[in-house]
Amino acid sequence: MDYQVLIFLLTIVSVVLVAVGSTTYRKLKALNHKHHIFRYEDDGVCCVDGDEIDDE
Amino acid sequence: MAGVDNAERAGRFLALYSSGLLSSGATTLRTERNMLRMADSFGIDVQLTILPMHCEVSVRKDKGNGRLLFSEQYSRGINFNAITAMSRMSWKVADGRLTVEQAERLLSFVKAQSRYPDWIVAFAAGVANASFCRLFCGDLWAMAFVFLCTVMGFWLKRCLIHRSVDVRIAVILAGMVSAITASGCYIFSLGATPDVAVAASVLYLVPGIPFINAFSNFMHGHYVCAAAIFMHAIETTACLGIGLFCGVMILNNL
Amino acid sequence: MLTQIGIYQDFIFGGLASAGFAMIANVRLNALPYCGFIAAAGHALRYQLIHNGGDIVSGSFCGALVIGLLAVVCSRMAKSPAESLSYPALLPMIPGMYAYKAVHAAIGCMQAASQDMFEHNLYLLQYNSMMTFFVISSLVLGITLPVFALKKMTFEATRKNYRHGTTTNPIFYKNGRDS
Repeated sequence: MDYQVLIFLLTIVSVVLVAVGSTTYRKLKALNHKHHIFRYEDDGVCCVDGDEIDDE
Repeated sequence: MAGVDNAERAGRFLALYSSGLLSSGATTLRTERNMLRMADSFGIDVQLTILPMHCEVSVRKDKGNGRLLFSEQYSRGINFNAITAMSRMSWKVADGRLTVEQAERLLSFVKAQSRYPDWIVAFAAGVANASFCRLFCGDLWAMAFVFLCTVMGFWLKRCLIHRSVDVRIAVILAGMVSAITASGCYIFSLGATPDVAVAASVLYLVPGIPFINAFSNFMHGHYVCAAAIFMHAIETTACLGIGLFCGVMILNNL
Repeated sequence: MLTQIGIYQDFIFGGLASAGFAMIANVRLNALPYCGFIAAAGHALRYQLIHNGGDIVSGSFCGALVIGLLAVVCSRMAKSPAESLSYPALLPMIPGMYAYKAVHAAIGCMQAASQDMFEHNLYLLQYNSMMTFFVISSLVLGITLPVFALKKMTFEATRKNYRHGTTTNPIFYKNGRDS
């Protein structure tokens, strides 16, 4: 494939990935904030708190 | 003359109001006039100092020569809806239809108003830049590529700024992406005006309103603010130039 | 040589460009048609003046003057300050190309391989910077003159249902402020 075509396609793909990734991240963050799926302990270890979800 | 408590509350409100107006991209003339209009209505003696990154409102106390000083920071942005709402509010206060408490609540409400949805703004930016391309005698293919590159570059800039990336870096990357995308006209040999497409691809990033604000502030005697806004506009223009240059270099160099 | 686009296309696309950029600046929805119309009128006038022997600076000044006047007149109908109509309307006339060419020439100066190339790029940098400065100055002067001439109309555009003399505040006109 021609180098310029490759750069062109890579640019479009990377922008789409950044846009989709950013939107998905924000939605996941909002979901996490609402449902407290991930809870960080004091020592920084991440755990899943299943009980919290059942209480919703 | 209002009592000290009222003067303090009114002064604090006026400082918040001035910083809100300046944050929305209003000129120093409008900020001064609106603020002094409301100060007259409150019956307090104020002086406003507008500096590049913050503004200060100085209120004379009820008795004696003491003054209260309120300082608020402001950031640069453009929101004409907020400017309209705050201008209307200043007239309502001046006409005696709002008290300080009501004005404070209204100011909080105005500041919390949301903007147009991002996808609509990105689409509008694309249409606007494609129209720009046509104004420079671009053909339909050039307009189509400019629309695509503007939507992509605008969305990328928005995503990067939401992720707290420095605005200058976001502008450089958006300019680079727009230049590479608009070069599709050259790459795929589409249309008769590929050079117009590449030249117009970054014009949506040009800080037109800061340039106008800078010259407007200059005309009204606020030279420090004018110079600060002008330098900010030059910085943004340099960043988009660098982005366009890098985009073209990446495509041509290899 | 690229063909000219004609005054009608200049009118339409100037208005579209302004309405689009007005949306980025979060102008009220009801003020968008006014932005578009004002920009179209100013841009078409500038186009006509430039293509009939005028230069870009004087053409931009006349276009901005028309935009400023129309913005002040329409601000009452749009219930928005004149700036929120005139600033987006001016955006299609901002010399973005000159500003970009000035930056490009500055980069060219740094990359110049010979004195001739450096001097050529320096000429381009000076010319484009000057043009950017003078065109923007003429634009701002053009929209500011109607504001100075019609101060009361400009700054009372967002005032609602006001009748002269009905205010209850006795110190409203303190220090001779007329608005």
